Amino acid sequence: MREGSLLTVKNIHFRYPGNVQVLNGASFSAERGEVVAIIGSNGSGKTTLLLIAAGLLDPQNGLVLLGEKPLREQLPEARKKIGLVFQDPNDQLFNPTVYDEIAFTLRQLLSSEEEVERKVRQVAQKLKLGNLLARPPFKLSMGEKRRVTLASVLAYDPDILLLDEPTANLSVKYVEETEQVIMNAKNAGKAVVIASHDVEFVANVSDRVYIINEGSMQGGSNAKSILTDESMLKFADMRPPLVLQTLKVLRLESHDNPLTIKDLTEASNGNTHRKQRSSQTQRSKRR
Amino acid sequence: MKLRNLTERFLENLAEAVDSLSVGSTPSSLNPTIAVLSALVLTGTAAFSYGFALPALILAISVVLVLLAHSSVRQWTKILLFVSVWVALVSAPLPFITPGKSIAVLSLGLIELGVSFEGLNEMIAFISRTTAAAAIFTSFASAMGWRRIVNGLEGLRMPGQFGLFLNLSIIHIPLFLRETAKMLSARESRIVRKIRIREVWRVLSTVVGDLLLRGYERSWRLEKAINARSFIPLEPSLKTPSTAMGIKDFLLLFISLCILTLGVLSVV
Repeated sequence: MREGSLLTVKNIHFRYPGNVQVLNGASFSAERGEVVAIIGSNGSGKTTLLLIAAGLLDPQNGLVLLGEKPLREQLPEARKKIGLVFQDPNDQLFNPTVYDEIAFTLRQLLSSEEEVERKVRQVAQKLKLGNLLARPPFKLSMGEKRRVTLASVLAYDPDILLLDEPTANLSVKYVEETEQVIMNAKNAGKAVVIASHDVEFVANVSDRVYIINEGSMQGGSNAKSILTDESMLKFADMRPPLVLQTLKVLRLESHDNPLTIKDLTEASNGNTHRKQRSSQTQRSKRR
Repeated sequence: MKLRNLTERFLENLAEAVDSLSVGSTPSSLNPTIAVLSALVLTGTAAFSYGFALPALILAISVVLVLLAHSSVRQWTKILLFVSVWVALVSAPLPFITPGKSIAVLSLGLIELGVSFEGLNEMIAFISRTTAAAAIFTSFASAMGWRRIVNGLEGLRMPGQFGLFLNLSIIHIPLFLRETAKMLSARESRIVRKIRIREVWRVLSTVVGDLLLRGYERSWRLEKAINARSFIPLEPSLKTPSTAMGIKDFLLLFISLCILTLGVLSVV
């Protein structure tokens, strides 16, 4: 656990009514300007952990710290600092129009409707929702709904973003847009926590990775070291990113351990440059 | 026509009707509070009126409102026909059970039923009252949309939680209707051999239990979603910008109050 983190979740134990134990001592932390991923298979407790981190569920044991103080003592005002995006947009959207959905929090924070409208339009433009503002959110496509849920949270500019399965049911185009939103939030100094079982997506965006299985967590170090550690991934019934698996099948060794296509391209470009340089050196020696 | 198709079509049409009512026909320039107040006054007057003149007048006003608001006349007429038929069925015993001057006798084997003039009059008055009340309220609803009706009710100082519940119902009723249709299809797609209708119904009726469970699950998540974005200890409100009162609003309120006065005078 890191000192001085923006969000610290310590040793959480949680069970639902009916004695369904979901979390057994789960811990993680997130700092400003970093993307932390919690990966695990379905039913491993990711969603429950995010609900607890957002102060929406009370654990039987354990502590959530926002800054230095317990989150529970700072509610409900502390919710301004935490933005939670649910896995299923239909669970999150409850306003009659996209405009009202984005304005819901702003109306609690801003004093005039003019300010609210200005801010709504600004966020909508950023997330390409400008022409959908008058539409009911339930009539939109899944990708559009996901953008609305992101906009409704980004509108109040929280310090921490908690994203539950942000790529679930999304086509490639929307996944790339989500990646961009996450990178922008990271560059703006926000702490982003992603719960996902999409290893490729996690490899693309995360700085640190935790692995969760049956409510217990491991890892917490840099993404590359976790996502290349097969024994660690096996702990949560996960597989390494496709690029690594492909290299393994083709028996191609790469010292850089590329996790993404981008990494692989960079690594292969580096190899080409190295080969060119060494052949040039050999030629000059011969001369 | 297959039963499944009929059920699905019914559920889909119902969802569509609630959806279209939630938005309204055109962006209304009426003040929602005044419009809702007028709708309540006119509906109440129609429902408690005597005779045929007031219901006929209110029915005429509702026709004008539907035409002015460019609402779907076909859908509005469908609702009115449905209401009229339903009320006619409910009030059918009135001519037979109301004492008065007999105008006809119906012979049903051993039983003879007398139709009284007073009873027939009561029945027609009841149908016209109910139809006029339904007509005026649905004309307001189709012109304004449920959402603006909720705004209007909030303007009439209805408790904030009630407005939120109404809004959530308006959004979630169509969702659940569509979900029900999907669940029915999913169940029916797994009936792979020809079975008796009783067995089909037994399979399809399990939808009810599933709907309850899903409803609970969804409301649990929805509560979390609302709390996650509520920063103040008070209940969240769905406030929208207020609309100033214009000449149309004064005119509407004036007409409503005139009709209410006529209704009261006719009773007195």
